[in-house]
Amino acid sequence: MVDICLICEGTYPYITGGVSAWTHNLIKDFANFTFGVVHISSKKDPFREFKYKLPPNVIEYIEIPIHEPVVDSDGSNEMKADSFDFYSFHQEIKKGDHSRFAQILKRVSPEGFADYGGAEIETPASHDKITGEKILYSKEAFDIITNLYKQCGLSTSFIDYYWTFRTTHLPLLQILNAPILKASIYHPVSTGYAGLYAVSAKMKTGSPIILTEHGIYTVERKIEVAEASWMLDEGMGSLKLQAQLGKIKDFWIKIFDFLSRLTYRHADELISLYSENKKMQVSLGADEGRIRLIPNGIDIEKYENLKGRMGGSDAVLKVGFVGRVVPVKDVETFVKAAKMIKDSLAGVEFYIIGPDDEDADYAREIRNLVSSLDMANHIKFTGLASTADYYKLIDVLVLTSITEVQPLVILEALIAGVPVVATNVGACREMLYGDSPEDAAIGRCGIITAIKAPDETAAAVVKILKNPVMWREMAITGQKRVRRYYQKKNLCAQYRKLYFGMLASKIREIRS
Amino acid sequence: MAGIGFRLQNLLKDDSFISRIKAYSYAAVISSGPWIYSLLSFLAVSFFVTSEAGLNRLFQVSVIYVFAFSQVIAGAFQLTATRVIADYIYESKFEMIPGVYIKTITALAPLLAIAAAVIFSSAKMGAAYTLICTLLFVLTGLIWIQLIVLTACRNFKAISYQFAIGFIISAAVSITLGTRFGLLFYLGGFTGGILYIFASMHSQILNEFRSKKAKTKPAVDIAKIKKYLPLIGVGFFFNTGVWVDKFVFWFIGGNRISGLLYENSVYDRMNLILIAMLIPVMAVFTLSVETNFYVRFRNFYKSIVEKENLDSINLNLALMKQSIIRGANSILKVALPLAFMTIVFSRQLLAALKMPPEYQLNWCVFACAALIHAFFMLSLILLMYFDFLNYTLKASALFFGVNLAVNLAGALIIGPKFMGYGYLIAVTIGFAVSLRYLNEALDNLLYHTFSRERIPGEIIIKR
Repeated sequence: MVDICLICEGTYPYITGGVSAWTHNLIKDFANFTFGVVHISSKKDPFREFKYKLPPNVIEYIEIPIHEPVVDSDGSNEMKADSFDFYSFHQEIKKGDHSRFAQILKRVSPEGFADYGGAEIETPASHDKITGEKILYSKEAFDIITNLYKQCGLSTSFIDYYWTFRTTHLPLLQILNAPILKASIYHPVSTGYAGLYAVSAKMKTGSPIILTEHGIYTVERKIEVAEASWMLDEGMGSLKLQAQLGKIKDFWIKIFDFLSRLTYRHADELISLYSENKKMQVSLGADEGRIRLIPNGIDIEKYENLKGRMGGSDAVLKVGFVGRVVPVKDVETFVKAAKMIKDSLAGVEFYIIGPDDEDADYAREIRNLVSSLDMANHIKFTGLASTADYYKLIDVLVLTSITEVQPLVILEALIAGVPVVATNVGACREMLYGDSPEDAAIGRCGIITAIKAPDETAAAVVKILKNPVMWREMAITGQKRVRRYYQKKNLCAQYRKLYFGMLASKIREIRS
Repeated sequence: MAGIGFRLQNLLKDDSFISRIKAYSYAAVISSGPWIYSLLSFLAVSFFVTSEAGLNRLFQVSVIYVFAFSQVIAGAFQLTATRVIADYIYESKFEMIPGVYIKTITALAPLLAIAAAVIFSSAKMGAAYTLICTLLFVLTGLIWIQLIVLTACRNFKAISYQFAIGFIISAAVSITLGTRFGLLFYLGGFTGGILYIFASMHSQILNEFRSKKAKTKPAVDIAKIKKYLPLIGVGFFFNTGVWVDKFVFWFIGGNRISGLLYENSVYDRMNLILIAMLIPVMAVFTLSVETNFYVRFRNFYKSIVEKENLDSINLNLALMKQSIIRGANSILKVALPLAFMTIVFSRQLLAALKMPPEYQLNWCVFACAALIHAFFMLSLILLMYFDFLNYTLKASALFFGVNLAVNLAGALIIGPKFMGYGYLIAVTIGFAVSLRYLNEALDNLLYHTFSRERIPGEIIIKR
């Protein structure tokens, strides 16, 4: 039994990034609590290594590989028609209606229900267990698949639909059948499969759920599904076919949407990082009144006042990009913008600060672009480096990402006293221009640009660098904003309050 | 960005079903080759050899035993080998085929030799007779396997030529020498022809695959053999089922020629109807399978694999079912008149075959049974095409069991007057059951096709 069970889907402790860093810091900051970590992965990979060393207060760790083809069976592949109507359950999934989730959980994994979920479930009269064998191979399931296919009015590949059904259902079963890590609080770091695990754990143990959603799961999956190129090989171009593909993709998205709604419904605390995301969660079914905003925070002592004055000691202006060299950071736009800046402001130096080993092909492309623009002498790749060293040097931080949540690098640069030019993604606008009216009144500490617009980025950087007064104001505003809204001690205090509150009521519950 | 997202596992591979259908059709077709051979030799010898009645009979009985028991023993291996070879052809692993061939015949030969030695030494006709008959028996059994291998590579021409030459040798040698020097030379001549067929087909097989880097000693693929285990049962029950009613009437109410060699002159002659029926039926069957049905069978599976929509898959399924009906119709067009004529001219045929006229009714019953037999075989082969090996096994085991039990009871209680009835009952039950299975299989073919496709690398956990 641990105090808090963190549930991470495809992130901590294997992948570096904002969510993982947040998770790792949370565990370290709450050294007095014991943690369990449930990592939901795709497939087992014995050669994969942790990117973070688990802190000593992590006392339990389990991994659930949801795409492993593990199929449970009770020896029968007949799904008896009974009070639980599987077909209409699917209709409900498509509508985002999760009211019968507890029933389905009880049918898949009948053991050990707590008062929370168990009491409200009527046990079906002739209930036999729903196994993977039955969902994947029974005649009844096959009939459901063909009915759903017909009911959608599909005239596209049946075999793709069939495999879509299988590949969407098997992971759900893996989660529902997974061992429950016993905890007083379940803290999923996203909805989706992580949220599903938390909800089943809550139904089995009665322990409450805190959901912290960094990005918006449904939206991220939507982008992924839209970009997925599967099946497109069968003949692109026809509008009708596109519409058909849309319907199959819709099927995927509906499942993800269902999982998000389910998690929102059962989460006792819902935490969003910034107000735009909060709006999004509300539009996806979360109850607005229950959403709390707890933004990212940093240890300001580490970075405070690193930058003195513009130009620094050598009076050479420097522009820095901080982040991994990967496509979502759109380093290409940064390089193009650098070329434009150099052309209008002589003598500026550029730094790309961050590891470039994650996507070797992309990194190579970027280097080729740098040489083809004749910028090799002006742009320096530092590789993985201590960012604190570079906030001393750079005069503007540039972020060209296509997607972000609430990037810590912006907070670091701001408290160091470096103005920021960032694309209008995630919480960037709120961080630079302010969120609430009081926040906005502090002023602007950078410039927001459109994504994939090197000319806008370049213009913004040039504007700041050509105007030392504006630079000064922005530097001061940034420090003010971070001190007021983005301190880690605030974040910790809020989570501490939540954790303590829940643990206390748990203890009361046990006593009574 | 949190989340695993999804992957689409579209992994229904173009399985071996295309090769499967071919393999089974060949297995069906080629089995009529030795049938023709046995029929012709039987008739030829009956026709030419009229002087020494006793020896003539011994010769006939020996030849029948060779065909009957070699089929029973080789049958168990035949279908399994067929399927394994078909898979290798499909996977383009031609180099594995000679290995399968060698392995199968080396396993089969000793079994055949032991059975033959037991049967023929019991006749106490001397060492030369036992030796020749054993040789003939072993060779015939092995030829069943050779036929599969050669037909699998579609070398029909070579097969028919070699059979023709072999038959000419058999006939010429046994008639010229046999009429002068007696039984051993009949058998010897006959065996000579068979030996020619065996040797030429053997070198043909080795030649066929020599260019393809043949491995003659590959590891035995246990998984493959295990997968097709039901086929061993199917091969055994079906082949033995066809003979078991004859065995009953040999041993009960038949004549003992010598030792274990029995005959039943009446029932053996009735059996000619079945042979005469199956030969044209098989020909028609092959024709309709190779043309109409095969194309639609392939289209059906192709429409699934090539990502067509459900309507188009169902349309192809309906077209395939239609071609099954059409195939059954064309078989009926051949088999029904044949049975009809056999019944209408039963008196004349009985007289021509020198059979007592009181068996006319039994003769007619047998003709009806042979007609049903043709369709029973058709439905079993179709079940195998669609890979319902367990259904095939159950139906053929039932046929075997009923054919044995009913004939045994009938022969003991009623006697020779029961001839044909037991066979009719067995074949009718077998057909009814296999038809029911076939119906079920075709009704749910789409479900079975999809649900058989397991998730790759699947691990089953029993709870």
